[in-house]
Amino acid sequence: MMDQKTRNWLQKEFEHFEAEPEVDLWPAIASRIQASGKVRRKWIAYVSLAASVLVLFGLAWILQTPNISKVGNIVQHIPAADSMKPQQVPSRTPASPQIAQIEVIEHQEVLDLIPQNRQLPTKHAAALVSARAEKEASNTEDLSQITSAKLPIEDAQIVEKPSLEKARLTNIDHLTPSTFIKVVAPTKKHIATVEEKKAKSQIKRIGSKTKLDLNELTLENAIVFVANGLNRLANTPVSISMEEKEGESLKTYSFRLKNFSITRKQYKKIKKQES
Amino acid sequence: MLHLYPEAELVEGCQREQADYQRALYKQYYRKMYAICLRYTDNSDDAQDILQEGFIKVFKHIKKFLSQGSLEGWIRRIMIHTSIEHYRRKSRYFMVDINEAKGIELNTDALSNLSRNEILMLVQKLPAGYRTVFNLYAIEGYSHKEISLMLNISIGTSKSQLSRAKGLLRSQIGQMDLKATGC
Repeated sequence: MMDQKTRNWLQKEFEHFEAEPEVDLWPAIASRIQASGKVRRKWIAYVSLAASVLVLFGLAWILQTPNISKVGNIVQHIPAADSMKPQQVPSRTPASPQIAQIEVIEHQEVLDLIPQNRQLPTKHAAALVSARAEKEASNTEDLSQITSAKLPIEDAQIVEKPSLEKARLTNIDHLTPSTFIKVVAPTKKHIATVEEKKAKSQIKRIGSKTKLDLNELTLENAIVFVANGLNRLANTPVSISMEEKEGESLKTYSFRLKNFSITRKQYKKIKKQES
Repeated sequence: MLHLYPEAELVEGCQREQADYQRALYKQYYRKMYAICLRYTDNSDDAQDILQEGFIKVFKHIKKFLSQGSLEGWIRRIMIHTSIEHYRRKSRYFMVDINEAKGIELNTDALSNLSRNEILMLVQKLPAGYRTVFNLYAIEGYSHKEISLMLNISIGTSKSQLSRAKGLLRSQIGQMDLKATGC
């Protein structure tokens, strides 16, 4: 084998050995480095762009609010009374802060739920006459505005529009009146069952059934009714504080959504369950 | 006029991919590295290719250099590995597995009469496998175990390659002596 002395001698001999290449290699090396840098930067730019596009699409997909205009048979449009001036209800009803908040923005008596050209059943007509008579006796209201009274109207409705997207994306102060949710009336069938129950259980049951008895139409019931409707959508409990008002027979409570959100997945799940 | 930077500054500049520092680093080390490349090749064209590839690797991977060892040592290792890769690509039978190692000796006396360029010329004439092992063992100072790991060969093969390299060098030195004496 090679002895250590020879090894050391060779190592020492070649330690500082230098040689000059025949050509200057730096321009070629520099261009290769720059090219690889450009490719890398280009690649990073493409990846960044692709990632940004993906993020934007993802956000758009998440933020896209499903159309809940077909949330089952509880939603149906009924034109609200435009002859009565809305009365502001002072209470705010904070709910689950992460998911939904319902704010009572309007407490409105509705006396023209039944259109003028609709022929009322006899007992309903009698009730209407009775209501008119009461008002006439009190002699303080404009009788022309009294077109219906305490009547079991056929369908329960939540009037809702437009999409929840606005409600979620915008501050409540910027919502338009069209984002109101209005609880107007229950179904006839529902009235029969509700009447057999006591008030508290009625509320509970009303909530679970998402039907509302016009006879039991208090602010409390209305809120529970709406909250339940939202719960079905959001699949999340909504707690509500409420203020009850006594006295009037037919009322409309208007609500609007605040910070309400629902994912597409949740919405699809609910729709699947419903179907 | 080439500006000489301190090593730490040079490394930082190259890590920031600043052309001035990259050029300075090249200018500072390219002669030494070219000499190494020449030892591992049998012609200057290949040596220049290896030098170019090696420096591109250096600039590409300099962010991994942690300043724990010397920069020159790190660049030297890159050049050596680039040389090995170059001949692996070039020759399918870069390293023939020979397990017999004959005890051929190469004395300092025989080498000391030669200049560095003459030794380099003799080393370049060796077959690629012999040359590589000879360079790694005799000049770089690696052990046979390290060489076996670097070249992915057995320790016995490393020893036999070295032995044959020394044998060839001895015969070449003998021929040179004969030519010199005119016999």
